[in-house]
Amino acid sequence: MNILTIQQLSKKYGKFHAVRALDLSVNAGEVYGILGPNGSGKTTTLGMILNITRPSGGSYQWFGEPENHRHRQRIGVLLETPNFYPYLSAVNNLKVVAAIKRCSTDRIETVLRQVDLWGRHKQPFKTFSLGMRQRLAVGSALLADPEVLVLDEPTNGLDPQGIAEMRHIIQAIAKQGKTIIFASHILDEVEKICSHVAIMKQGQLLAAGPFSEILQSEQHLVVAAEDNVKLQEWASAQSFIAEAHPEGSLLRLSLKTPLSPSEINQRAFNDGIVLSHLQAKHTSLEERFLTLTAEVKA
Amino acid sequence: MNLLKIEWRKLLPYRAFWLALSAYALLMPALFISLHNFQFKLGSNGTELSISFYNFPDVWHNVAYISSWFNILLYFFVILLVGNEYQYKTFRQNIIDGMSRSQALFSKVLLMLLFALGSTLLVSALGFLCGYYLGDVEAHPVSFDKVSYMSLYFLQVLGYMSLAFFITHALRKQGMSIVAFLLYAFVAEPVLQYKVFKDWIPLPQVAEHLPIQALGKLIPNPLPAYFGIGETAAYNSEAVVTTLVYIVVFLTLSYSMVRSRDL
Repeated sequence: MNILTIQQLSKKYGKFHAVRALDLSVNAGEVYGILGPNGSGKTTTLGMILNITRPSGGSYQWFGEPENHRHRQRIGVLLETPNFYPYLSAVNNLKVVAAIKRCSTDRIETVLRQVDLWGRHKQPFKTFSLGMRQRLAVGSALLADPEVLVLDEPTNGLDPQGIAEMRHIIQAIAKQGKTIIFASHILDEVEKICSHVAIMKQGQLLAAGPFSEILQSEQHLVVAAEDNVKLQEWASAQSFIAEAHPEGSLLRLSLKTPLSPSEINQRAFNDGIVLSHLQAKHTSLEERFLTLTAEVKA
Repeated sequence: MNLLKIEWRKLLPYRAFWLALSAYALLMPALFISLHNFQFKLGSNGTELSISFYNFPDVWHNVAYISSWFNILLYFFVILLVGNEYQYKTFRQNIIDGMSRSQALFSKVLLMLLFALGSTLLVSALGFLCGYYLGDVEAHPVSFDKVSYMSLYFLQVLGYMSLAFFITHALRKQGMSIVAFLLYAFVAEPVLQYKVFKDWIPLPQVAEHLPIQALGKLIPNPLPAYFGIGETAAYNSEAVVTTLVYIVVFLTLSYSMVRSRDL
């Protein structure tokens, strides 16, 4: 089931393109990370699909239907900073949310216990620490038992313990099979939580898809032979090899076309080169991210 | 009804709001009582002239006029409540949680209608009690002849609130909105009326139909009639139409701002 379809979505502020013709599709059950450095357009994109930022062009659909405020009642959202009425208690703030989402107030106690705030449920929001505010925002996002969660930098400003707690909460939600759209500039966070990733920089979508596909699209092999000079000459002549860089006594190959290590070995052997070392190197998200974002001019 | 439920849940536990509302509801009768047996000293010999504002049927007009000065508190409520939503970014949060922009706006319009209605009922009840207990009932028995001033009062309150509502949506800051509201009402419009549209660009028709002018004409000053220096203006249908037009304009402008801007 398609949860979110974004088509050619753009946002301009004067001459500045915050988001350029973004296309993205998120299906049910996916934990989709939107990864990009600060200022890459992640928050603007989330703002547009949540109707708080007006798009300059393009469109989006939730649940296969054109934008409608009722869709947002089925979505739980946690943006960078939690926004609540400071004079209202945690419970009363969630009562407001329940009235907007047209859901029962029965779940308030459950979600406040889930985010470990039941002990402070009668205290005004203004007395909460940042970590507690973030947890209340998670509780609010979960209140209507949403089909989709949209999270924007949920660990921003939290201390290490708060970050760990927040990550634990999100992972627990992901395990329930809910769709999560998760924007972050922290690679480690996205890698630990998400099944899919979209990489953005300067408003442009650079890559999007399942992690395995994104990482496989740049394949590396580390090889060695008795005569490494001959090996390098051979590698440079092959059309399926993009680059060959010496790494000590080894040679690192970047492949243009995905080939298995055994296929590489066979081709080298056919050309009279016996490989003494052959190892497939998995690209880390960090390497892939840096390669992709380096291609976009600063 | 759900929109009112949402607003109710925001306001019910809001102590500062209830304190301010209680102060408004208690100060209003205090003001009326303080004006009982209002006395003027006229001329150099200090002749005292005692006026009773609370004789039927003039009491309806008089309490409406007196309250209209006091109602600035109500307009500040509107500025504070709408300004709060921008200050705390809860207006944006309400949209994220599932309200449409028009619902978010309309819920506050409903609240304004309730405030205007509540204030009108309060002033009507106080008007009746003042007329009955503080007026000369033997000479001026209970009468509802001029009770239509209560509906004009309702319209006037709604008109001023719409102006405050529009200014707050335009500026999004409470302090600035209060200053802008006061500046417009007490400085900008008089300048427009008595200078700009009189001397610089003579357009008397425009000058007479500026918002504060139009709203003021709904409930004209009753005092000149007491001093025999004029008659109380009769029901002004032109002011009613102008006020209705302004209410629609202010709400429409507020909606168009909320609809088109990033939150």
